[in-house]
Formats: sequence, C-alpha cells, structure tokens
Amino acid sequence: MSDDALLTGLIDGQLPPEQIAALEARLRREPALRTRLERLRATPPLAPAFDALLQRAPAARMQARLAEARRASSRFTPPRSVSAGVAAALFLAGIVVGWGAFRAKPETWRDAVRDYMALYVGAPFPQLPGESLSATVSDLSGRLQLKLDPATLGVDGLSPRFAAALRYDGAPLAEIGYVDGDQAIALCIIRDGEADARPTASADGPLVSVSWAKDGRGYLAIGATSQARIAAFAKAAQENFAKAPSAL
Amino acid sequence: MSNHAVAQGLPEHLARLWRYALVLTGARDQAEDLVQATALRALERSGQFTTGTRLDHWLLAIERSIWLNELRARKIRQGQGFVDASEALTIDGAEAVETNISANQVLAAVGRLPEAQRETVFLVYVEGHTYQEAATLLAIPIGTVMSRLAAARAALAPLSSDARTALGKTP
Repeated sequence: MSDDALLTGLIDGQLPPEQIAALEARLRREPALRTRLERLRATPPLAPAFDALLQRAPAARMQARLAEARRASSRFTPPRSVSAGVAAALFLAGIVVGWGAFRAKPETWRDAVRDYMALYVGAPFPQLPGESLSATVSDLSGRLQLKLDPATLGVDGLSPRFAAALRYDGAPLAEIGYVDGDQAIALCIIRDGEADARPTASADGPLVSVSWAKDGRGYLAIGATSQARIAAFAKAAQENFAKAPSAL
Repeated sequence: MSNHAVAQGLPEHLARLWRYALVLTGARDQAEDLVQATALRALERSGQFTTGTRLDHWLLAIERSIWLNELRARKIRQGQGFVDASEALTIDGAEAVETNISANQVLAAVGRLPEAQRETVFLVYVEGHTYQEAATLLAIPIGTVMSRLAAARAALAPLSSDARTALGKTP
C-alpha cells in the first residue's frame, strides 16, 4: 500500500492500532512523510458543501412522482405466479412508461403538495435537529419575506418539527411539518404573487386541506386528519400571520 | 412479502438518493429519474430489506446497482462514457465551507475527479461510510478505497492552499 494511502487511513482514523504505531514511528523519523501528511490533511471539508447541495434537492417533485407511481402500481399488480423474466420485463416497461408519464407537472403547486403529502399519511415527519430546523426556518423567512419564528409557526398547540426549502415553478415554497398524534400536518407557504383568496376547504382521499392567499403568498394547511382539526389549524395559522408584520 | 419500514422510511431519504444520483450520473435530469427508479425498485423489493439494518445504505446500494447495470451501460453505448459531474454538482448560493472556499468550489472540484474517486470520496467523506462499508458497497478491497481517497485528497488539497494564498497567510 502506498504511503499516501496509509497517511489517508491515519487522517481518517481508520487504521488498525499496529499500523498506526508503525506509521507514527516513521513520521517521527521522516520529515518528507510529515510534509506529505500535512499536504493530504489540507483537503477542505466536503460534507458541508454537499449538505448545501442537499438543501436544493427537488424533494417535493420527487415525492410527488413517487406518490403518483405508487398510486399507479396499486391499480395494476402482476400476479404472483408470473415468471421472473416476465415480471422483470413488466417492471422495466413500467419504469420507462413511468418516466415519461411522471415528467408531467401537477397543475398547481397545491396539487404538487397534495401528491407529496399522500406519502405522509400515517408516516409522521422526521424530527429535524433543533439547529438545522432553526437554520432552515430562518432561510425560509428570507426567501418568503415573511416573519417565520416560534410565534408565527407555533400553530394551535403544535410546534414545527420539520422544515424544507422547496421551489415550485421558480417560486420559493416553504414546507413546515407538524405532528398531531400520529398524523403529519403540513403548513406550506409560497411567495408567487397570487391574488388574495379566502380560506377554502377541500378533501382528497384521506387528506383534508384549507387553502388561502394573502399579500402575494399562497398558503395550504394539509394533513390526514379531520376537517374540523385542519380548519382550526388553518385559522390559528392565519391569526398568527395577521399579527406579524407582513414583510420583514 | 413487503416490509412497511421501506415505504415509511423512503421519503426522508429521497434527497440523499438524489445527491448520490448527481454524483453518479453527473446530470440533473438523469438524477431524478434514477431516484425514481430506485424508489420503485426498493418498494418492489421491500421484502428483502432486513429490519434493524441501515435503510439508507440499502437504498444507496440499490441506486448504484441500477445505475451501473442499466443506465450507465446505456449511456456508454450512446458514446457518453466519461461522466463529468462538475456541472451538475453546483448550487445557486454562495455558502462557504471554509474561509475563502465556497461550497461551489468544493463541489466542482469533486465533480472533476475521476468517477471512481468521486464516488468513493462521496461515500466516505459525505455519507460517512467506514472504509469497510464503502469497500462492500463498491465491491473492491479496502486498500483500493484507501488509494482512491488518497488520490482524491491529493487532488483536492490545492483548493485549501489556493485559498490561503489568496488570504496572504502563506506564500
């Protein structure tokens, strides 16, 4: 194994103890090896750059595509007795057909969120670590030009546990996730310049939602809960934002 | 037999699958398609997932297998054998990872690494795989993992010295 490989193992803390001892002895004797170690150690940290990339993942669109694919596959399931070859062919055909079909965008951002939220029926949002949650909320506050903080986001007794910075057709879209009992409720806000609209309730399968728009921002409260619960949640959210200054 | 843990855990891993797909394919549109294929395959084979093991690692392995066995082969047949990921690996912000080094500089530099190094670096330094876990996923000896990481470190280190030079800390 090359010296560079051994030194990399040392930097990464993944060498067995006997190799560490041998390498450290050499490092004490060989200045060139020490220089080489410092050179390899100078690599900038990679994880933060890739974490920044992670924040840009088209999560809503991918979830919507997946939700649609799952709905489609539940309509047609190959019989268990089908041969492995046929099953593989069907599956590949499904992928090809699916890729074409799922490129189509849902009609509105609210449809996209509804598709996406179908994946959260009975599956609560993950709890984001506190720092990561506040950093995302603060970032979203800037993108939406809207005061987002514990006061505006503490809705009807629920505190946010998940937040994602998404985009729809170029407009910044915030998703704030809550858990009520064992159900996920999301408050989604987009800054897309839409006209003011009064709250409207709707239901789609197990998902119920209330949608409204104010000051150029669209809102959607949605979850697999009762209509009364989502109505109360939406009303509390509207009151929170009515109390907060409309722009930062 | 299906395993509900897969369907339940899948949504929170989509973004990470997308990021790995960018590293593999070097193309944004292909990355989303690869994630979709991976998610569907994982759901189809959820019975093969062992509860209590790492779902994220299982998903990354499926994604890699689909890429290598089905999609990359097609790309090579179309005469696009070499995957340069430096264009796909960019962000629209100016986050810094270290004084004077932006996230974009780091991403582009990783994107320019040869495929094998890029993927190994990503798995170990970004996804946090141990050498052994990376060796298992990539089906290569640990020594090869170490050689690839060493070569990548040597290629990436100038980023830091360039930044120091720019700051006037060292010649």
